[in-house]
Amino acid sequence: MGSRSPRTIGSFDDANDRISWISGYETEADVDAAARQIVEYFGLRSFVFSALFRSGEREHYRYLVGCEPDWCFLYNQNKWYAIDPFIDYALNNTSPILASEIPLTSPGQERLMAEAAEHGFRSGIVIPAHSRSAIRLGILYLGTSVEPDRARESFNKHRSLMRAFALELLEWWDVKLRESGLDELDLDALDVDLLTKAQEHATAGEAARELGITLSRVKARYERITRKLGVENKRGAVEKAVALGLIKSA
Amino acid sequence: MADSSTLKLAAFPLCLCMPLLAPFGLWLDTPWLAPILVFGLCPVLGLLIGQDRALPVVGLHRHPLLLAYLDFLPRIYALVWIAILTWAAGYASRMNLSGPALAALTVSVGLGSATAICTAHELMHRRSQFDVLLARLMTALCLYGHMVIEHFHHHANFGDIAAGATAPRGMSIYHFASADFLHGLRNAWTVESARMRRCRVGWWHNRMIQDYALALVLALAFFASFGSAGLILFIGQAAFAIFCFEVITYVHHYGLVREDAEEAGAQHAWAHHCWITNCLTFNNTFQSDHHLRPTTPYYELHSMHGAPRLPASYFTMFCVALVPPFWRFLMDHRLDALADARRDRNRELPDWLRAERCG
Repeated sequence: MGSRSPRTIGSFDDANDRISWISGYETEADVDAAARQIVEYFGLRSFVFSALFRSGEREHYRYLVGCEPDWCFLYNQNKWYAIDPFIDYALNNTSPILASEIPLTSPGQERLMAEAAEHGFRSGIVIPAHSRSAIRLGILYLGTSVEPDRARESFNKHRSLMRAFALELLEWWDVKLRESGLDELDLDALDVDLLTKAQEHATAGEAARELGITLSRVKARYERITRKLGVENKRGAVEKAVALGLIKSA
Repeated sequence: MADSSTLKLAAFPLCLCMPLLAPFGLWLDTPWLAPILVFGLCPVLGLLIGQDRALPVVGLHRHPLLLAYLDFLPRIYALVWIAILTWAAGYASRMNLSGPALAALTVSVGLGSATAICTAHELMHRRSQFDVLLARLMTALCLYGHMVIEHFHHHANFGDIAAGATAPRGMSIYHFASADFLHGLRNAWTVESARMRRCRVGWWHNRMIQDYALALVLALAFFASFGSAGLILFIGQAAFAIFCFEVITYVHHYGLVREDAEEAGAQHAWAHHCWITNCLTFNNTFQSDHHLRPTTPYYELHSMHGAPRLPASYFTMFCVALVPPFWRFLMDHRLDALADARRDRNRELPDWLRAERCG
């Protein structure tokens, strides 16, 4: 799907439509343009969507940024993602919440919030978005720098749409990463099917019978998959494929 | 003519004739028209038109509209066939047909149903959930509820006598058809049971149970709507279609046994790339290629180097298979020639035994 013509969002239905289109957008620019309009409809000014992916011991972040570029630079430079109270909250909760209601537990977090207020997040809303898998999490921050009560008003009015917005953004990242993971690793749909069978603990013979390919081809494919994923065995391949988002977790 | 890719693309909708021949025959007051044309005229047309040498769509400019047309064609076939099947049951119920007339209508509709299994076969290999469900509905209408599961098993094991779906040398179609159907039933149950145990899901997730339950509901619906004549036609067309499918499987793989640890290849399926057969059956004669690339859509399939050639088109060989001595007379010396060629691995198949290539 290509980019749709930018049109101001004037009603709940418009906003609902625009949110439902997100998963069909191909480029980050399309999603960014739509997200800015949706946030504007909420009566807010800034947003950051962080998608957190865990692969074994490592964590990866992907961002969609609709705020002052300085803030992103500062956030990354200070490695604030390591102490971000909103991430802590989102890891353990599913309910959207006003940022002001999340307790700050360290001087570092207080410093973080003071800087955030200077860069468009004087008050805000945190919306966690959880996937079926525990290794993939989205956090949508919506902020305003004008009136502290503005966030509460917007939150009360648009809470359900905000939640849908966060989930659609997570879905978009999920699909995008899955596709790019496949492309980068040169794996195809049959490889994904085989990984799914391995995840179900199917033997090579069972995978062959259920997918309609010969046993020797299944074995050759598994060898190729483990080589490309840089792991030693099928189990490792499944774990890595889940972490990369190539297959869903069981 | 048989070289033209454009003409071939335009001719694929000819497959819709298969179900439409039944009402057309009644309209012409020739109830046996469908089998006469399919087993009489088609082999002659096959000889006149010759082998399919058209390049597959993959070599052409792939316009999205062209692909949409080709992708939709099997779905359109499904719609037309289901409509004809329902109409035929209604007709049988209304007209109080005599035994021979009902038999003629059943066989005529059954030819469309046999092609419907072929169409379902194309759909079940697709990734679209809709197409797979449509394939399952079509096989349920043919009372062949285990076909989707068993067919994937066949792909994994063709050329292995013990796994079924490949007739050993000397076995007649009559022995093979019943043995293979029952063998397939057992195989499918084993495969599906293993999958369910592994995935820890309840019995209602068993696709065999689902599809046979659907088949039963459909049979009851035909009986309720069209009475005993409708039910007889429904069961008759399904039995005929399953038998046709078993004959075609027999023709595809007769005697082509894989040796221990031998890789599956083009040499394990008989081919005869008759142009008219391909148009009527979604390129079903390109079996060797389909076995090596099961998810490749029908319009991208082509002939394979090393595929052994049948003496005549599928429609002709279908009739030959029904006369086992004649079948063995035509086929067994081909198996001997293949065995000779296999012993000397550098030796190419003789021309008379080598399937035609595209392009």
